[in-house]
Amino acid sequence: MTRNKAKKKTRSELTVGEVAARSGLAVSAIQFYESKGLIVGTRTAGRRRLYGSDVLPRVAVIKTAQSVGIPLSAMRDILTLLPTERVPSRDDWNIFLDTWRSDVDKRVARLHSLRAELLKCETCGCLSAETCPLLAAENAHET
Amino acid sequence: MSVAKKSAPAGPAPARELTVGEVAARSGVAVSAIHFYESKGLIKGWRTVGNQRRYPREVLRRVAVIKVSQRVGIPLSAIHDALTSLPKGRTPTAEDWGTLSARWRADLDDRITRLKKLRDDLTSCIGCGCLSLDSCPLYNPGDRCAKEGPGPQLLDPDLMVDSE
Repeated sequence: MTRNKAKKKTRSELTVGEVAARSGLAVSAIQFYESKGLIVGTRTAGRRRLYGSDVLPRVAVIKTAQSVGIPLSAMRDILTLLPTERVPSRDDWNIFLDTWRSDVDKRVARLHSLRAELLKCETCGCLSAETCPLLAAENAHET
Repeated sequence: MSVAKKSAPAGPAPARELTVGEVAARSGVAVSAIHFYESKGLIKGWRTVGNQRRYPREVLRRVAVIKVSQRVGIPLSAIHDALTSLPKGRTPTAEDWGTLSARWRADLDDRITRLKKLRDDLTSCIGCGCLSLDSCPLYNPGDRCAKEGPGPQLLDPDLMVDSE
């Protein structure tokens, strides 16, 4: 776990400001991602945060996921496929991308079925929390 | 479609108003959720002299609209805005629901379109396999693509939404 040792900044490492500038996100967003365990940084002896260059693709992934409405909690699970203790290899990335793609497929399928449900609800129009079969299914699912 | 009035407490028919427990039981929603909806201004009730909550029967219809909307992923804030935009904040009629539902469907369509685009991008990404920090527009938002502005360029940055 050499990356976790306090040390001086090397050329390939990025400060939080550099990550923000290069990713187009606010510093606060980078800090938020780290607080949520989506990205991992190290600390210099002076307590400055430093990130490996692989933080940029990670941040791009997170930002992209957010832009299409994928919750951060879901991304955290998938991002665990990318190692943080070393620079992810090509294989790591391929596994990650493959998994992410199938997750996206599932989301699309889910949205299609919700759309069909909604259309059914619109056509039925009962709007009754007592008799709606969709809500009954939803409530059963929750309990 | 009349909404029960707070100012008419004199001898209301028992079936016309519901306790929070009755609303929960009939709608299949937890009591805590009913309280939450009320705190967010999505439903309205009143208090008895004994300070117990009461709701008009129409609240069931409102809860149905909220639940279905939530189920398709519409944030409560958007549901709130949609409900309060109805004339006099009325309980949605079948026609109102048709309008809302069509809006939610358009929203779903938009999300589907964006996810499909992402899927295609990820496919070409995997197919490309370059995984190069120097050349991949997804991985390398700041350098090669800096002239086009920061952020991932392969995926449309205009689609960024506030996740808060």
